[in-house]
Amino acid sequence: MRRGSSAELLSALVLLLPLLAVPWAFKPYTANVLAVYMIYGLLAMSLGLIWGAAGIMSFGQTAFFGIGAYAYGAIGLNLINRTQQTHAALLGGLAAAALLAAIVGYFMFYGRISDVYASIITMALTLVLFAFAVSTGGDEWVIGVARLGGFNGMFGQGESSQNIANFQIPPVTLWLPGMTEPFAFKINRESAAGYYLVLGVSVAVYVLTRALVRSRLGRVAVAIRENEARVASLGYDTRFYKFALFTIPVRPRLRGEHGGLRPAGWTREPPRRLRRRRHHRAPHELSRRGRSLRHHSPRRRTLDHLPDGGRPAHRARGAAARPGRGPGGRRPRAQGRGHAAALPGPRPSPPLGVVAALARCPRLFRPPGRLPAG
Amino acid sequence: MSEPILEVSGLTKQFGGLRAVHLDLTIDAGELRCLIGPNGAGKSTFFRILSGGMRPDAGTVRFRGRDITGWDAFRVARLGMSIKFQVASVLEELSVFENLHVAAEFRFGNRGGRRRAAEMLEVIGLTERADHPATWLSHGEKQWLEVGMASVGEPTLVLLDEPTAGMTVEEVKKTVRLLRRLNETATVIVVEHDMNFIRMIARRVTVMHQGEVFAEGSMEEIERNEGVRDIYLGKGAHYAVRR
Repeated sequence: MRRGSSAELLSALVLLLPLLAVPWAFKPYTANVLAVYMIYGLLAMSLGLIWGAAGIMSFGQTAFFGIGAYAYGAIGLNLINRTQQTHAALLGGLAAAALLAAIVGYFMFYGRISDVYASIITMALTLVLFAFAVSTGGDEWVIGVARLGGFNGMFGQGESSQNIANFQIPPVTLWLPGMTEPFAFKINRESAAGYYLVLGVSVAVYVLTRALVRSRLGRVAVAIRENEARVASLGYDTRFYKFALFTIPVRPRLRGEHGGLRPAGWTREPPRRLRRRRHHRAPHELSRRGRSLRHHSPRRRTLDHLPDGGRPAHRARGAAARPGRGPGGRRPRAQGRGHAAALPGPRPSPPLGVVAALARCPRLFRPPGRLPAG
Repeated sequence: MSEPILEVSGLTKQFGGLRAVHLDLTIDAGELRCLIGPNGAGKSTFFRILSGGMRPDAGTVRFRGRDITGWDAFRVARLGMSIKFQVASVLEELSVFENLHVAAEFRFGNRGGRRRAAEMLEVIGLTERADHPATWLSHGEKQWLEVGMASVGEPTLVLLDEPTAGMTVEEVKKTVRLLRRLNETATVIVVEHDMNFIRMIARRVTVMHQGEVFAEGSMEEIERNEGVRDIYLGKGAHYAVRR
């Protein structure tokens, strides 16, 4: 394992411990809110992958997120009475988000649409979906028993808006053979299982994302970000790699699943998620946690950044109260990647991500090494 | 001399009213061909068409016996043609080693790619700079890195567009050694302006003027050719190509 990564894994573990303790130390509401933050952290991680690593600024991630959530809600509401399980809903959410991303991605990248226009297309996608979603308030907008609910979002079954109080979008359930009844992951006074589910998935996605960035797919995607023409001249079909990097973070299609987890804790699933504000928020959040996926390089010691999962979404809140998180050097932003710099708002978190910043702390106490001439 | 590895016939590219390229050219396997000509002669455009970055308006290109006209860049590369661009285009934020690794990985996979990258690092003489971001390299070193990236995949034909641009005399000498070594395993076409460099490595030279082949021969023949001197000095009006 390379030198930097063990320090970063260690710091990631250090950050994980307080998160594990949250349900014990705080009331369920806090755990609930944190779980939501972690889900948005997943969204930001997906953006970190596709924008930070691949260099494609996609405004569409929240659209995929929302589609996955709606699909989960629709399938879950319709099937829960019959099967008492949410497997189909989870898979449906994943599939819906992945399918949408695959279709949009295929036409964009195999059509050789250049990066700026691709970004605009993804933004248009989001706006169109949002406009559609908020127009679905009437009683006639139902999928089975699931009302789309317009601006208020999907929040239950019922033939008319008068009859919605008696049902909620089902939380994720697990029913293994041998259990008498399915186990529901909720966050309330009795159980914090939902929180741990979200935490667990966040950690898993973090680990997988790290692995992806280190894999050949990740390396080539970063190379494409640097100089696409050069990479094509080396034999790589850059259309495919861009397409793959676009569709896979819809694999934080686990984001779709989380779209499922999100309503799981709550009764409503607002299409606000599809809104542009979330889009601007997502890159903003990403800029707070640092464009941490930009450097995948396993050998670079000085410019290491890695994703740090959902934690900074939480840390972003806490960082204002706890300043001095870590040095986190600021990299000069190359032209074209200054989008984050253009977004308004304070940046309480270190730009390279909390995990990387924390991992670098020991270096403060070591005498500076000889920098190579250059 | 052996069979031709590259046959260009009737290749035409027009930019509005300007006919940038209109040529017939044949390169034999194992050659080290130098392509010279004044600015605007169409050399870089020709390279771009060859390597797949640009579609020609007419004509054909046959590489290793296959018609590759209009092919995408990555398909041409997979067939064994690699190119070093005129503008230094390395992967700036990756390290030197990683640049070579990405280049080698396509053909050799992860481990094999690492091995090839390490070997090429020695050949181009940048072993001490292996972990530095490519953006820290000097201009000449970037050129070498790019030549390394173009050669690490064991290509059959290498196109080098001005490999010594901006180099010092010492660096040019090192580049000559590099190219001679490269030529042992690949056919090389070099576009260059530096006459000293050309003299050091050239065997056959092709002179382009206004998109067409103006003269072809050994370096001595070309140097003796008054027409070549004239087109370089701007007296090319005498030799304007009839459309």
